[in-house]
Amino acid sequence: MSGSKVPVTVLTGFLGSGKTTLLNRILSENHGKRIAVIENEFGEIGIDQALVINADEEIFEMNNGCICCTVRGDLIRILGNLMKRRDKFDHILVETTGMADPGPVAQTFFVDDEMRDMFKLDGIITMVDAKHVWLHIDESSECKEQIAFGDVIVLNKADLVTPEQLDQVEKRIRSMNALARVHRSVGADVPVSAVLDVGGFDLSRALEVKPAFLEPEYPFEWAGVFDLGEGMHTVALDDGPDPSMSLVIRPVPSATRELTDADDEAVARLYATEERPAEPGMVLSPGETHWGLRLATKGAKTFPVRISAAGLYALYTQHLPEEFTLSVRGETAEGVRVHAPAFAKTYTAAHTHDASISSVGIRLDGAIDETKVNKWMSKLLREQGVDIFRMKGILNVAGSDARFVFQGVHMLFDAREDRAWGNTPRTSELVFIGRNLDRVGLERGLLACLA
Amino acid sequence: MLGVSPAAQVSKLSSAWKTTIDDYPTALAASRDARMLVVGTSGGLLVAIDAETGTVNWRRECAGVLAVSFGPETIAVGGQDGRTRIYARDGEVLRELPATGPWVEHVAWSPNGECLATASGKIVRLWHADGRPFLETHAHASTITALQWNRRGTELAVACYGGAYLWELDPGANPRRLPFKGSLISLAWSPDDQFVACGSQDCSVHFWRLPTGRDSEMSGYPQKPKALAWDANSTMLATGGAPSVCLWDFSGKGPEGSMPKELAAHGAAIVGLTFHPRKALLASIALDRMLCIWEPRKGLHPIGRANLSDRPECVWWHPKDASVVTADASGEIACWRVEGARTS
Repeated sequence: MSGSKVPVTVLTGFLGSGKTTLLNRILSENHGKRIAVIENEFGEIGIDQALVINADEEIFEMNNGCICCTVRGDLIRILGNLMKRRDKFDHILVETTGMADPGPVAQTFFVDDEMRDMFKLDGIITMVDAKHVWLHIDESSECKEQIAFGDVIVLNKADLVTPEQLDQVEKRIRSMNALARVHRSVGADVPVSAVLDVGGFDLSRALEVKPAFLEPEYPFEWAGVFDLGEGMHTVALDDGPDPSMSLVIRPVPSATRELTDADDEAVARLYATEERPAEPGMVLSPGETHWGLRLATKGAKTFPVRISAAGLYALYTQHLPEEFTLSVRGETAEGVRVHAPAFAKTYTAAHTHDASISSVGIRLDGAIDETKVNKWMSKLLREQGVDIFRMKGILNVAGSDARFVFQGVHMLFDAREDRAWGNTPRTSELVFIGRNLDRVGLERGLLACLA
Repeated sequence: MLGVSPAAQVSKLSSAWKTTIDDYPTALAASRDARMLVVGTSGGLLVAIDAETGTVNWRRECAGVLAVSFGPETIAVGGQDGRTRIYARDGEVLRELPATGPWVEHVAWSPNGECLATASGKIVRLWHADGRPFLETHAHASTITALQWNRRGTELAVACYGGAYLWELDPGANPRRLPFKGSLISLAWSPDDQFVACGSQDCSVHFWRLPTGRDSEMSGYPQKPKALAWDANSTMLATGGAPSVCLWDFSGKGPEGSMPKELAAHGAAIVGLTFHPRKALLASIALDRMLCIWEPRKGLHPIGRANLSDRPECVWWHPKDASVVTADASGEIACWRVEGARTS
């Protein structure tokens, strides 16, 4: 049944970004497809072989108030009628108005039973005017949402800006939407294959585009290895930017002084556990504890550390030591001495809490418990579904040989077993695109789902 | 009530006639004397068929047909070219109403044939039988999704996003609004003019008691309950929105707090429902390409069924003969004899 579903491409972008130019290009190209176009803005299409229908955008909110059930009534009506034609169409293009919210358009193909049976959403193409996008990208929520929803982003009018400016726009776009394929164009001259049949909503192709930013990211910014003798030592801090900070102090399991990825992973998991609050003066014993240092009081603060066996100890801090003038000290015969770390490492800051639109990618080794992840995901979408625009992922589920793929639009969620892992590394990868995403919270949530 | 029922031997209906019109039928209407059927197609054909024999009497080319209404004498056809055309019974185009912009998705002759209502986009227009316009409504909140006259022909019900509206034939009057927060996708006015029932995009059925304005909602349908039908006595409302037909009892105090009867035989979503104009006989068509005939007062099993060639689009009860006409996506129009009903 799904084989006969007609693919739908949604073309979005601000007025003047080049939607009509791209549309004309697609329609005039000799690709042998019969395409029907639904336009919400009056354009100047004059192409014979395509059927062009003008329609008013009609957004239907539901009686139950659920935003993820908001659909586009005009599309349901018109597409339903289109499917009753003998001369079938191979592809449907929906051109939205410049100010359109892509959410309801995408949701129409998931929520409405008729539409779901007849069509499959292939992809959302967002046209961006490389020169004028700066006028909107900070203020206009429509502009940001169109970028966030895009499977393909065409950075058009590239000739009107310098290469440096173009790089800057692309960088900004990628920070918002790490999943999209970005094409640069002049006069919307992108190949049709780049915009049609992109499989943006195809589960088995969900993560074919490897987001470039999926470097391991950790909830801590710094780690140092200290050679500590038996006895009392102190973690000393001065005033810093935050009233609290997470910290882990644990023996280094390996004989070398360096910290391995396995060490970092283990601590990342500890960071995902509930923190144990520690007021200044409280003794921190090394081990598998996630400490939450309380730093609200003014002035110097110290936390004694009792070391019962001399050796190498790793200290993982949520923030950089210099932000709090953090030091590790020990009493010696010569008095108090500041220990210099034998090894230190900084990590990509991963806890940025961006009020604007961003992407969060999480990669995790280790199998996931299916029940736990289901629970977590449904809670997450219930609470934050409004702010999560798109979501795609592959999960390494414990006890299954197959990849588990999923994707979602707001609270709508589609998931199933995919092909077997075979020889590929069994790594879970999730990407969220949305507003106010809390990277640490998302990472902790997923880490807590490990089997 | 649960119990052991004999494995119902559902009789296969035999066809009185079959004909093919070689295009996708979108609308079917019958003359008041039930002797003639007209079928409109998406490709732009209007075909007149003899209801007794299935013989095609004439074909006319027009724009893609969205709606057909048979008046006492003439046939109104709403098209994808934004026009309404009026045909005589012999197929002659009597007149073309002025273009109204968007698709004409609904047309409805008033019961006495003096007035034609057409819906194009968000606006409903009323026309005299001779084609003179006499009323144009305000723009509704969305494109009109359903249009129906009451039996007396005094009011016209319109469904759209945000509620249903009842318009009187008085150009100065404001419509009565039956408010609903979501989007209504279908409407069925009970034959006694007491109830207006609407299917909603959010998979519920909403109905209003017109004398008091009191409304109620039936929710929990797995699919959109677009198909709705009242029986001749206005005591049963049949609804789609699932592979089973849900039958709500409107006799006595009404369906509130009651469980509907479920008529289960189809294997996929119901797309069309219609009661016999006088008897308590129900015909249902579904995406499983099946027609089922039910006698819901007597039992929950179909008394007859027929396999259609393709996805069914239209279903119509012959008021005199015990027969049902179906139109399916392959263009096959078939008339099925409902033998059991005739003898019972």
